[in-house]
Amino acid sequence: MLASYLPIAFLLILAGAFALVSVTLSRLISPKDPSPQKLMPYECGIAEIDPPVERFPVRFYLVAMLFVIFDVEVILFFPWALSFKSFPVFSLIAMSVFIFMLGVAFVYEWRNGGLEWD
Amino acid sequence: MNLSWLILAAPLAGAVVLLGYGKRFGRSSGVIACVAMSVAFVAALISMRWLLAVPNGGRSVHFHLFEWLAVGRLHLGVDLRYDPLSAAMTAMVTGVGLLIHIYSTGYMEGDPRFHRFFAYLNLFVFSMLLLVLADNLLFLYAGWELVGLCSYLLIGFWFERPAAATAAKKAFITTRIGDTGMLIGIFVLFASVHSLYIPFINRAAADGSITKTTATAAALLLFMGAVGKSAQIPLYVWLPDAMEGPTPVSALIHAATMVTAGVYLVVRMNPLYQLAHAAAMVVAVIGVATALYAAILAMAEDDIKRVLAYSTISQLGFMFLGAGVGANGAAVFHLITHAFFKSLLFLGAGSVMHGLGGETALDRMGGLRKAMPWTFAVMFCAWGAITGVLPFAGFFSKDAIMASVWAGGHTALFVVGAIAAMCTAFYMSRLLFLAFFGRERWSEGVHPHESPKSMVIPMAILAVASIFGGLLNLPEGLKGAARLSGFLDPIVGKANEKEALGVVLVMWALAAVATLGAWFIYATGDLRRRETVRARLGPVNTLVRQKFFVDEIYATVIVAPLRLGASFCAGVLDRRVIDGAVNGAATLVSRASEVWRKLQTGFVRSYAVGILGGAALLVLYVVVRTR
Amino acid sequence: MPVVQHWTVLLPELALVGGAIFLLLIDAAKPSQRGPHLAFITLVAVVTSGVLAFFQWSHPTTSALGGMVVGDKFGVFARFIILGAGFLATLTAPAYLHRRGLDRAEFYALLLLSTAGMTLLAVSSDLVMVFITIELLSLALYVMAGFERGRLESQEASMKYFLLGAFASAFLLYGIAFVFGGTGTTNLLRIRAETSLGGVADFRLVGLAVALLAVGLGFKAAMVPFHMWTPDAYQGAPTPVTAFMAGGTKAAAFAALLRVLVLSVPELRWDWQGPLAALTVLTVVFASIIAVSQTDVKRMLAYSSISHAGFVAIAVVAASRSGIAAALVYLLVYTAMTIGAFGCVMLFRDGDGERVHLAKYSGLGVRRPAAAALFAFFLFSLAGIPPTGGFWAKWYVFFAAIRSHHAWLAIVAVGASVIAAFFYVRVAVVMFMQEPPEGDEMELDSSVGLKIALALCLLVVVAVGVAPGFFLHLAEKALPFGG
Repeated sequence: MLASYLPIAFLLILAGAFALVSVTLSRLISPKDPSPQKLMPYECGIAEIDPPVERFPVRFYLVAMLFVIFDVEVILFFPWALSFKSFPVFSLIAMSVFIFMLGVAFVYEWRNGGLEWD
Repeated sequence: MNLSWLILAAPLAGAVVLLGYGKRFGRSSGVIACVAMSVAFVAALISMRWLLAVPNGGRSVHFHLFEWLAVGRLHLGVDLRYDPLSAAMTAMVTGVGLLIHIYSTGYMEGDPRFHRFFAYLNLFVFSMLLLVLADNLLFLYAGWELVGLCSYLLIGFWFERPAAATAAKKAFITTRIGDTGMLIGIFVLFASVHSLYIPFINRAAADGSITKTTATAAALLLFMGAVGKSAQIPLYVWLPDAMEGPTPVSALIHAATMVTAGVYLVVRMNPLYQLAHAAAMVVAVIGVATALYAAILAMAEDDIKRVLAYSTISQLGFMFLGAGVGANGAAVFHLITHAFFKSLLFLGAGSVMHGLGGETALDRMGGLRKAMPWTFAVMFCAWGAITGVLPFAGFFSKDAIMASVWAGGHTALFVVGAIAAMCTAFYMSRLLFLAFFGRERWSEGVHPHESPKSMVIPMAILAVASIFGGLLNLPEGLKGAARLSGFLDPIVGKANEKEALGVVLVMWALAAVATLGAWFIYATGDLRRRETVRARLGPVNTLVRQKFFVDEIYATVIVAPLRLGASFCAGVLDRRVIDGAVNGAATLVSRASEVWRKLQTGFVRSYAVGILGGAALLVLYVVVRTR
Repeated sequence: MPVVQHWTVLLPELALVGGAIFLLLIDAAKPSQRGPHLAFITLVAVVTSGVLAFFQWSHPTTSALGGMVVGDKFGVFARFIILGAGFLATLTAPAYLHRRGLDRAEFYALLLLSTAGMTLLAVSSDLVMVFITIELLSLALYVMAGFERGRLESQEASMKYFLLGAFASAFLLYGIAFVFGGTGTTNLLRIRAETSLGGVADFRLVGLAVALLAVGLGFKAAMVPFHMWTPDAYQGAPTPVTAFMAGGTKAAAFAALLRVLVLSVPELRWDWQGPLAALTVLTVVFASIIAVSQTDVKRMLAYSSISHAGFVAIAVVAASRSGIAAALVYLLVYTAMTIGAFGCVMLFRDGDGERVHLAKYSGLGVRRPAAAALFAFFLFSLAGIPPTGGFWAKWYVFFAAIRSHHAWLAIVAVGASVIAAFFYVRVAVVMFMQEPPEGDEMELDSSVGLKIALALCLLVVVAVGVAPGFFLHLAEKALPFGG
């Protein structure tokens, strides 16, 4: 049974070896002639104007999170609706609790200014 | 209602409050301590009443407070035993303790560590009560060591004085020698019966499931502890020095309560001593020898408190004599009356010192009966009690012991005891006459005055107790009911006490002779007659006045070789071998620490490698093992 | 034995979550509000939860959520320790947060959610539940560790804890997958049935799974070599959070470890006792030795908490009834004394900040004798010096180890605790035997909550010191399963 895992092991070794060989080779055979200009970011001769890494505003994450929350809610609704008839009372209560929890989180974010994009 | 938990809890609460917040209470900490003691005393009385209502024979109650420790076969709970013996002891300890607390509020007035003093006093009372209420030897031992600790703290209370600090150390170390033996004795008993419960051990001793050899060994080892704590030969040397502590401390700890713990232990374990005759005889012989020896020393002592210290040692010797010949009831009776009159003597001495500005030398007293009438009156009562004048308490208790010794046929012990009693009458009369009669010899600028009420009232109460304490146990021959004996007998066993009028008469005659002698030598105006006596005694006088050079002998024979060995151990063994090993190990650890901490690089990636490496090793182990 | 199903098992957790929701709602009603009422609401929620848990003590074992959660005495005991940690942390937090302008409702809501995660972890009887609750408690803790956003160390603590926590969670999940592969279930009781005689488990897969689960839970319990986040996280996090993490997380993680190892795979104990013993030795020795060269008191206490994880793990290795009882008593004492020690660090202010460098403690015993004595008491208890509670905790653990024929483990641990005593006692020496510097008045934090918390910690440590038998007896009663 263990033999059937052999291709995976082989692939692992191959991947590791490839990474190792490329890194080592590039170290060994690349020309090394550093100069201040070359060591600067974007080594093309022009000094950069903006800082190299642009940060996303935090607001973006807040909206993204809201989206995910309601996305998950919708996904959960489908199986719930399909099996609703099997346990009508219990599943209604359970889903109400779930929506209530989401509602609390939503209200909290809303009241703390999470929806205002300025 | 049985309130024995409260008896224990009240002084503990007082001690905790005063240790924690004593400074904040300042002067009123004395009141707090007294309140705690009053609660304990009242609780002791209520519990006693309750116990008396129980029919005789069933008067032994066991309280399981909580399970403390259970390891293997050893089950130890925090348990109390309330029976006639502990009832008598708790009533005595709380009663005398309360009076001494009240007295101390006057005596310690103005001391900068006033609150600390009362915290220690309360702690001491708690420890003593733990000792007498404990139902297993471990907690008895805990109380035993705690009273030792309190004694250390209180003897050295004025630790600015080098003598006090040294005395405290001496007391602690000397009693430790005995305690070590006692601890081994406890181990022996546990190894033999697999229990530390006192009733269990006593039952085992009574029905013979302990062999006689084991019983003898254990009894002697326990007695070693008693010898240390109750200052018997050869470990008595700490008690006279302990007089460096404040006088109320001497009264409470070194006269009335702590030093009687040894007697209590022997009486408590009486079935063991009944089984081990030889050990009981050792107890009696050491007791009577100490009684005589300390009485002789007291006759030549010039410091009022030290006279009383030797007197305490001597009286404890009488109690051990009683316990050794099986007169346990009489021993406890004497223990209680002694607590009354001896603490009274100490308080009286404290009152004299208070009035004379701290003077303790008998040579610089004299004629105080006019200046301090109350103190004189109470001291007179105490004198009557200790010398054994008829209506006073000491007569009945000492007579009970001596009668038992005589009835038991121990003639030699009786003779030595009688001589010791005679010496007692002599040194006590000497003290009384030197202090209160004769010419006024106090130093310039000293104006004796009576002590404040807070000191006089407790003394008066103790004086009453010293007079009527005998009523506790009037012998049947005097139409009494021997109440205390009847109360204690189920616990301590019945002694063969026969009324022997002859014994009483002999004791009386001896005391009278001694008192008259003392009057002849000391009560007259100057002390010329004393000088004559001293000169006639010659070298004997010197020997006694130097306390038979025991301190010096101990210093050369025991302390010096020990010190030599210790300095060898400290200088060569400890510094070179052990310190070397310890320091080496410590260096190794700190080197390893310096190196290994470099593993903690601060980079998340190396932390992740740590987790990965650990996981890889675990997985590898599983893979290798399951192959 | 069929176990009764009843949702009331979850009442204590519902109280905690309800408290958290209430806090979020009142914050939504009036955003960014501050004040002591927030802490008060939190305390009410924790106490309610404790009372509800207390009622389960006398009930027979029940379960809920289709066997995912079990309500037994073991769970109640563990919950009490965790709720105690939450309660103490809540008491200490307001003054600390207020001084830094951080006393917001979110903090308390997160604290409650994290506590709920821990208590649920302690009563989980299904590996899926174990995973979810670990995530619940961790996510809240990640945020709390970084709550002091203005301070770089706090951010760093949060970041490291988060990254490595996610990494360790992966191992845990991997292990759960292997368990399912090997036994066809994730329910702890059914895993036990499958690995016992007559079961159908594939022992190779289960063995692998146990190793991976040990990595995940060992990370939460901070055992070497999965401990490396601990010093950084404990040092950087706000001190009330550190105290909470050190006390609560460890108790929850060990409750889960006991359930997983001793409850569900006792049949494999000949396989896991060896490697766990190795980890234990590594933990106590390594942590004790590294702690010697620490100069930051919080960091030193972090290493101390790592080494204590090793001591509890000894009791797990013993895998006996007395071992489990010893582990419970140990966790109880450990939580009280470690929160007490961190509480003392909060007590010793240095201006507006904390007094964390060891050199700053010199002469504290001269200026503030009572507070320094309290700190020394907790340190002595951590070192296991009799007659403190810490001594008895170690005593029971060693006793359990010796009884299950792991005497060598007890001997190694005693050696390590000698080394550990060095750095605990050193703090006391610095406090009491060095002269205080001029001009440093060494003000104490005067917050009432902190004082109450310290008093409670002291009470527990003293109570266990005075009556260890009582607590051991209680813990023995809490044993739910024949180990």
